[in-house]
Amino acid sequence: MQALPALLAAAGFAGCTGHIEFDDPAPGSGPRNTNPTPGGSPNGSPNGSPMPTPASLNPGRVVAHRLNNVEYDNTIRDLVGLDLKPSRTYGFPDDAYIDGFDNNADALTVPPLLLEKLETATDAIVTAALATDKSNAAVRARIMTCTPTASSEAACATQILSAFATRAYRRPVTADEVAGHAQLIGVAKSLGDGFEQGIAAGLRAILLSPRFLFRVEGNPGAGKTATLDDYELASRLSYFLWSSMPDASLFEVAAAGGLRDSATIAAQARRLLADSRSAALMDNLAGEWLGARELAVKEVTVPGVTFDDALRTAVAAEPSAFLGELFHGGHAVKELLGADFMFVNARLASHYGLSGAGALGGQSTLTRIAVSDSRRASGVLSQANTLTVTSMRDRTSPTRRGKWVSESLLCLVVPAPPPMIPPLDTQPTSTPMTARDRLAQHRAKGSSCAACHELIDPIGFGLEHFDAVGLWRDTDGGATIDATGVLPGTGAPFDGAASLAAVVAGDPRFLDCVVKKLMTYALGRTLVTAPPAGSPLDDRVVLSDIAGKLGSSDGRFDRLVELIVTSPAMTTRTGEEGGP
Amino acid sequence: MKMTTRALSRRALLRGAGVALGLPLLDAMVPILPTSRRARAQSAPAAKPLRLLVWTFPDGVRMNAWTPTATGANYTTPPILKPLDPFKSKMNVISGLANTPASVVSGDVFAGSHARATGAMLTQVPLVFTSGTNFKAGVSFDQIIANDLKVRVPSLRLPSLELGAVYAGATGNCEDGFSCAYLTNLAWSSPTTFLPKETNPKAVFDRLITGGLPTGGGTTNPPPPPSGDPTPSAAAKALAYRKSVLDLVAADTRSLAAKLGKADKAKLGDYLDSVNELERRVTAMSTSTPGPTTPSPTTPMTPAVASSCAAISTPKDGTYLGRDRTKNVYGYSELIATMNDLIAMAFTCDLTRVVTFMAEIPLNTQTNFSFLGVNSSNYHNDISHHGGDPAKLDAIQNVNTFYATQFAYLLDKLAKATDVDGSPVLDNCAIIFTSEFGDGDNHFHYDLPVVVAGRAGGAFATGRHIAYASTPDRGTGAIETARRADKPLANLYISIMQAFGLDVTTFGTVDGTTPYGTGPLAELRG
Repeated sequence: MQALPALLAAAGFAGCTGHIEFDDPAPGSGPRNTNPTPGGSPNGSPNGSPMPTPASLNPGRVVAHRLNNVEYDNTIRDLVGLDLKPSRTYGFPDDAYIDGFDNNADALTVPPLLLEKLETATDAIVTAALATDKSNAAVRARIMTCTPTASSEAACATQILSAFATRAYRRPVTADEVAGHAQLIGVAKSLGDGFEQGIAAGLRAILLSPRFLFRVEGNPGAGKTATLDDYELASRLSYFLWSSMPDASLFEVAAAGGLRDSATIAAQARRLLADSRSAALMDNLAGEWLGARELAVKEVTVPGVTFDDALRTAVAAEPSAFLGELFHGGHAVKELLGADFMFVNARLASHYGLSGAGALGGQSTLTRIAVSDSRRASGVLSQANTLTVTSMRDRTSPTRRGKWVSESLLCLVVPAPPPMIPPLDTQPTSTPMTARDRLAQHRAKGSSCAACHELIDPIGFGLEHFDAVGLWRDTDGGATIDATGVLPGTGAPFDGAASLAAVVAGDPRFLDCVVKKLMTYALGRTLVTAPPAGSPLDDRVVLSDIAGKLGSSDGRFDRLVELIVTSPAMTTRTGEEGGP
Repeated sequence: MKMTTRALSRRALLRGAGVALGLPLLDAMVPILPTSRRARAQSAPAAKPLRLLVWTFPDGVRMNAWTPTATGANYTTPPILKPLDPFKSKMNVISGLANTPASVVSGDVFAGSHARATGAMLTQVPLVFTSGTNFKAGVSFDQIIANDLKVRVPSLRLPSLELGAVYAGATGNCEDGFSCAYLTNLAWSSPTTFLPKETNPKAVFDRLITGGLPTGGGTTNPPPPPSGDPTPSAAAKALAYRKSVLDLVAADTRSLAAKLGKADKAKLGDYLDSVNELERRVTAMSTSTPGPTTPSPTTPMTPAVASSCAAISTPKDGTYLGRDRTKNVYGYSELIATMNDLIAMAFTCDLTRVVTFMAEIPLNTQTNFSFLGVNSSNYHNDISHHGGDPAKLDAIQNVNTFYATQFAYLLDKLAKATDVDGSPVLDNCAIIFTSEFGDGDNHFHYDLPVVVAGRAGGAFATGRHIAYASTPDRGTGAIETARRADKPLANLYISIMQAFGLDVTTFGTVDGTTPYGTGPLAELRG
């Protein structure tokens, strides 16, 4: 193995070093042709730079954070009281995915196309919110809290607009900040319209303000670190756990200065997690981390399988329901890969071949059942969603499955393949061949390929008893399946899915990876775990602190949430110089 | 005045584009128009409404079935271009052009070749190697034209339209560490800002009709009333509210940004740019903009044109369908035809004069061409990497011809529609029909397949095969990365920009300093 990197470099294959690294490459570092030392502890320093001491902890900062499409929809729902889903209705452009999540503050911008659509959406939202039909009475009354008389128009306008802006901007608003908005009454009058149209215009201006569309945090100044204020903290909490604005109760706690205290932060986090709005967290993690969003649009053409809408919907819903139980039911992180419960409806149970599927009735929502088939006891590794989204449209891909597990569960960096590789030969053969056999043949075409594939593929071989839609099979292509392999880096052996799941769950890199994924999502920025020399920011400090505390406690998902929300990376921010 | 190879700052251009009423257009704000040319624009009668379209399909072409053997006016139409035969006299086939900036790469010459070819196609600069958020190309030439039109024809509904028939994400690693941003977009308004594509026909249609379609006999939107007029029209009121709201939002943004750190300020500055751009369009839609430096408005819509617009904008089955990623409500060729309909509508109703369209995405494994009788579950690897296999070469030719047929459908619509100056719309067009490579197997960035349809209002002489000599050695390595003597694709873009009236003589770069395109293609001139 040690000789291979040099061989690869000589062969000019910059894309595959033959070694899987444990840290993310620095952005813009170019094609990789360096050979980091193998092994090393996941949160240690494979590149040799010493970890900074906790005293020098730099929490980093998140740049002004535009509400992404999901957050925008949820915030409008909670602010106005109407679930209009404007990002879908008006076709907002898709958000960018960075580090696997679409809530990365650096990547979220407002191109002219999006602003056009925001303007159109805002018109519709305000019109709907102020509609005078009886069914809309509560929604309208929440905004129109006073009726103006001839002498009190200005005061009433200020009252309505500052109350709305306080909630929309997620912090108390001064009369100054809505003075211009109140003057829109005058514009309305000059156009022959009345108070109502003026208010509507003011509401539109509030909803198009960057104070609504962005979560902006104060600047402590260059070289300084400061705790976020209560309102900023409240927003970080609610957008982490609900992808939406704080509720009235959280606002009150913030207004009273309650979020200065870790115990209160943790208590609020528990309350928010228990609330039904935390479904957003489960849906986003399932969708982005566990691949359910991709499953929803993936082409599946496995012979003999009717992958219709009903099945697709059920398969895509399973990971979200599963995560919901993991977070709400006090389960340990390692149960992600080994649980005695699962979520099915009749259709999904039938797909899995579970007896008693009929008893689940015809509902489309998933119900929790005990795992009766031990082959489904490996958590996400035995779920149809994972197994289908990591397959090709009509056959399994051990390489893709190995890559997914390596990247998503162990946070390993799998190098890109070199360009121009010939496609895998999938033609039928006279002697029975499994996918594993075909891959061996494919790898034989170029020795440079073997180095990476020997690291990536084995995990996929461990899952080969599950076909391209996650159904169990004993043979593949007429031949017996060999599901043995070893984990990259540690060489820990496994045979089959359950054994693979146990080995991954017991690997310290797994816990670190889950911590890193959830932290990345919670913060909305890239975590720096391979800092260039002299970089002031090194997130390994905060990550290893959390992972250490999690590992030495009950290791539960809800504990992880508490550790994240009370960590300095969440509650403090470093400053920067003021701009030009 | 030469265009520098430094990309124009979108912010600098936008600041100058008449953000607030009454702001004069200062020289410094309009860097690409010399004073003498601006004066010409003000005094000349309304110029021909030129229209630019770039229509691409991916993964290359079977070149020996695309490139005519003869040059000049009497060439035999090769098989792939046969569907375009009805328009032979209105188009040129150009061979031998190169996209040398796309061939600049450190390391493996094939790494990211599709991404480089696509990202550099309209920008003509080498791309920054990354799959993160720090991607960087250059300003694409279609946006240079669009920015000029903001000044010259401010009443256009949309400065440009970016369309696609296939959805594809624009972030992450798409090809050997090159960002998807390069692979899935053609238009860049700044070196770091690509313009996302619309792939939903209903959404496109809604944007085009917002504010109403042009009616005969005058400008499209009545001006806001003078103050005190008791009965302003609904359209005028809507504009007035929009202006006031956007003014307030801009002021709010400036006051918020003032208190923030550098990075946050930049983030809000980008937002302010978008607000200012929208405000510019709203201001332009009301024709009461005062001031001696205001350029002349576009030619008023005649009843004949208005009815041509109305006819072309009625969707075939009564409605444009929304297209959800989870459901293919359109078949693939149906969807391309629908997008073609929308392009024809956008041009005929003069809602925009700059469109880019990607019929598919390079490296695609999405579109299954079995409906053409082609055996392919993976278009890119299965058939565009033909390796000399005759069956695969035939399959590629089949797919190329399919795209030519779709393109011909659009040319037919444009040839039959009447433009605002009374000509057929196609006459005023400069339409580039191309793919990012010639041969899809070797991925070379030279000897590209290019058809230019339309006479650009008379600026181009058409009906010919114009062949530029291409360096014969088809090797890789040093040949690929060295500066080539082949005629730059950028020169075609300079021809088009000049036809649009821009005083441009250079475009793009290979080494970051020396211009790549150094003049128009003289052979195109009408």
